Amino acid sequence: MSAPPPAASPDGTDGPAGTEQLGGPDELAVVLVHLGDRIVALDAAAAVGVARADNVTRVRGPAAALRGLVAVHGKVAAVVDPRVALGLEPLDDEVVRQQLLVVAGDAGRFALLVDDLDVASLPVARRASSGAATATATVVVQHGDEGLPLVELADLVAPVLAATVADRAPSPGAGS
Amino acid sequence: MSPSPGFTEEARENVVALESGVLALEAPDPSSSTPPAEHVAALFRAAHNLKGMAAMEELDELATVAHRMETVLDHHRRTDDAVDRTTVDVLLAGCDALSALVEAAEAGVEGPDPTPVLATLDATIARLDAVPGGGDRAPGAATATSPPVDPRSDPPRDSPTALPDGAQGRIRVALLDSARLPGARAIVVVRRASSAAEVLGTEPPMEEIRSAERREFQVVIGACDDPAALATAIAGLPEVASAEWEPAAAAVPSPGPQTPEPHTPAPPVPGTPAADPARGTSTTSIRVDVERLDELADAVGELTVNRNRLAREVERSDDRALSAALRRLNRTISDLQLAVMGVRLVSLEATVERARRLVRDVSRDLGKEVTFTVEGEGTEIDRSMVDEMVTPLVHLLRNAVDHGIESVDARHAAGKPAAGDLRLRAYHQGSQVVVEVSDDGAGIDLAGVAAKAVRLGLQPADEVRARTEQELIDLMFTPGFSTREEVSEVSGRGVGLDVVRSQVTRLGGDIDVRTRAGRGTTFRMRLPLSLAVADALLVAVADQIWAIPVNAAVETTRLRRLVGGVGAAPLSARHRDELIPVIHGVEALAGLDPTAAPSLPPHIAVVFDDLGRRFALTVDDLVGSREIVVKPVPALLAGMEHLAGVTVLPDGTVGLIADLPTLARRWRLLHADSPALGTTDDDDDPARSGGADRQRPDAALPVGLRRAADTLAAVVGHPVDIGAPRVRVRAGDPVPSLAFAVPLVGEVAGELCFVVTGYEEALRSQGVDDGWHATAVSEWANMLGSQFAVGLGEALGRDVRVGLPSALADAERPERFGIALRAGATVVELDVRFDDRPAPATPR
Repeated sequence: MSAPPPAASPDGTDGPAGTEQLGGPDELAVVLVHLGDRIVALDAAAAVGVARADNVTRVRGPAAALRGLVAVHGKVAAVVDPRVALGLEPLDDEVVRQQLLVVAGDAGRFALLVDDLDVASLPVARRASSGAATATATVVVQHGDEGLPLVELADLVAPVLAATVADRAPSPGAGS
Repeated sequence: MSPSPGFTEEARENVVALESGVLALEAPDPSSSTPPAEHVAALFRAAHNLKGMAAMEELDELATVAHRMETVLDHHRRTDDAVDRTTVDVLLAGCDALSALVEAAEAGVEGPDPTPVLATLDATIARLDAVPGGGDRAPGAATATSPPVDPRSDPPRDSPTALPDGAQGRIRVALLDSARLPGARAIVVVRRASSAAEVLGTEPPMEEIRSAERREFQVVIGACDDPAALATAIAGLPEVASAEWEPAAAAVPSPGPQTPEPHTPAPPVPGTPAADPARGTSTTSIRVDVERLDELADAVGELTVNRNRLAREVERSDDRALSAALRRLNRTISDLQLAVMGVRLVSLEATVERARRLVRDVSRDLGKEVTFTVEGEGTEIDRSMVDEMVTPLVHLLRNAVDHGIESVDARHAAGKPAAGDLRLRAYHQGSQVVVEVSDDGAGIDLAGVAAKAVRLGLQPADEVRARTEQELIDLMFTPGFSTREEVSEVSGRGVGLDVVRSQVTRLGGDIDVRTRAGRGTTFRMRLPLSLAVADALLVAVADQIWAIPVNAAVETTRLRRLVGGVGAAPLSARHRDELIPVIHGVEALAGLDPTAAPSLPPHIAVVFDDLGRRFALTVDDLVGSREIVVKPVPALLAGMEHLAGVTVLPDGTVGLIADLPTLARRWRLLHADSPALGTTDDDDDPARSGGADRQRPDAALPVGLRRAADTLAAVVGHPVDIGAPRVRVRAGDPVPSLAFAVPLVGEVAGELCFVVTGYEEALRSQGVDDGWHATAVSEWANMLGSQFAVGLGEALGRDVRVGLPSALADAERPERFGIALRAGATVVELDVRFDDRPAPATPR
């Protein structure tokens, strides 16, 4: 499967470059997202842009993974900390040094707070024909010596959805 | 199978054109110069187009209904028989079926069964054919997509078939050999032809062209203004090698008595782009997805943000030449913004057509005669607003026919003509659009309003006498108020104007009323041109910039002293001699504890009005005001109800738009059971509406429940006394057949959640499907849901919360719990079914 490379944001910093030739028949173009010591692979087809994280409007809500809102290309996107869904320690309040990877897919359009990112074309180590994305990754790419499962966007936002759904119940917040 | 892109829009336009045309058959516009026969011919063509489009999309039921309607219209087209009222009814029912089938096709679901409509259409066809001179051919025979061959005429050598009756000729089309999808291209050709002509069929039939991928075919043309020009236009389509017009005389040797009858080109159906020859022969408009327009607007917004960044740099540089260039750039960007917003504007024509049908149906149901006049249907308004304004408009029109215009007898007695005069007028006023609904009825019975207000306990008898006319009119917007004693199937009872006002307010508009006894009433809605642009007050709350739509705010103020906030007494403050509830912005908007860093008085507050009650929202600072572009809340934040939208601020950051009605609703949920607002030493006047509400027998209940009682009464047709919901939890009980079913739930993030839904379906099943009732009941269901959550939570010893239907759609076991609300004679109960859980020890 070939995939278009992510486009750099006009007002963002370094857009992934030199990605035109990525993605051969046995390879998949992926965005390698650095979260501390961990590297996570996302399908590059889901990436739509990169931006700086210095303009995030905080939104205080019940979801630790939801860090706020940002405007990229005139569109407003929710800023999500993927660490929560991956079982890592969430970022502290200081997010200015982070980069935002704007992604879009069935789970919607949102921006992921990441330390760094690369774009690479990696061999597909395993591709399951079906299966629940939440249980096992349907695609695993070969990254060095290890197999790197492709993370589904829906899994990254699941903690946000669960928390905001629960928050719909009327809660103290009005003049009590 | 989903229809092709663009099909739904085009089909909708044809249905709307058909419907308005049929209505015009019943009540011809005296100012119209179109002869009735031409009008029928135009309708025939619209039905025919629709049939052809549906057949190409393989939407058989849609094509069949359109075909039968076409047959009925064809009878009148050929015989010049006047279209009687019964036939109009049947055709309108056909339009309804078409509309439902189009919507179902778009949604990709099975549409309603058209059999009943087809039966009435068939009966009408049979009736028309039974009329002497009316049965000149079998139903539909001359309008089949594949034209029948006249066995008595020799086919011409160069043509596999002769032309059918009514054909002017054919267009011979050849596609390029390189055409990649000839079947699809043929469809495009036929659609293009349909836009400017009556297409009687293709040769070979379309099915064969598609399956055999024929690159040469003919389009048989009936009525058409300029078929040669049409052929030229088709020749200009992509992948078309040639298109030649061949008139009937050349195509078919004269078959003597079988010569096709001369056809006068039929006029277009008004308002039907697809049937408009003017549009068909020159490309004056294109369809653009709303999404693309949004992208364009986003890009312009981004341009503005970058312009502002540039402006800051220019200011620092103090360079005059740069400043002048920036000013020119500003003007261009402003023009661009206006142009982009202008592209989103659409006329009110489609809304007006719905209104015509509504007025016609309601007046017939009520046995009233109504002359409905529309002014300004070409008035343009943002696409997003058009859909939103329908519900309040529908209610005002129903109200006018039901309550405003008198019965024929009463009008005669008053010396008025039998037919009431109902006018819908729309016009621009500044950045708003004004929509007026006026009737020449009896006017509002202000004495009746006053008496009812006293009887309902809304006003003490001695006070109501002192009320001004305007104050009495305002009482009609009180939840649950109506001056009509009997339940009306048309306008219901007890719920209405309050919902209209709340919807208009939610849209950022307002509504006022003028009435004169014996002369009539005018309701005037003022709505913003667009939901996408709003004037907003920018305030700071906990280091965030929040936008509050200016028309939602009454004023800004400084509160000297806050009282209450302890125990059951809500936090409140005196404002203009009234004690009003205070909502802490930092708590309600930012989710922070206001006591953690208490602010010192005076407290800056934005005062707003919700359902007749004033509230004060405290903020940290007032930042300014500006026009904002309103964007929807990103899906991930959809659960945050206190967000009405978001906007991009001039510095490129995101501003949050506060949803004031939600803040007020939350306040009511928390405090409506409270005996009163907190009192100050000098206070002897509890909140006005609170005092009035306490006069009602069910005053101990939250206002939402009281309103629900009124709505429910209108739905079930007799008074309903809603007691405090009793929650009974039983193991394994089946859910009885109930008026309102609320299917449920699952477990999200470790919490039990349930979904308050299903009431729309219940309403529909009872024939109450308008937004007016649905909105009220929705609020009621949410209100009950909240109370139920508390009860169930106590019974289970766990947190139970109201869920979000869409997010819970995939909950693993949605059948896990059942809850039902019974609209019994006097009591609403909540029954809970547990399929696989033990009954709690202490049911409530």
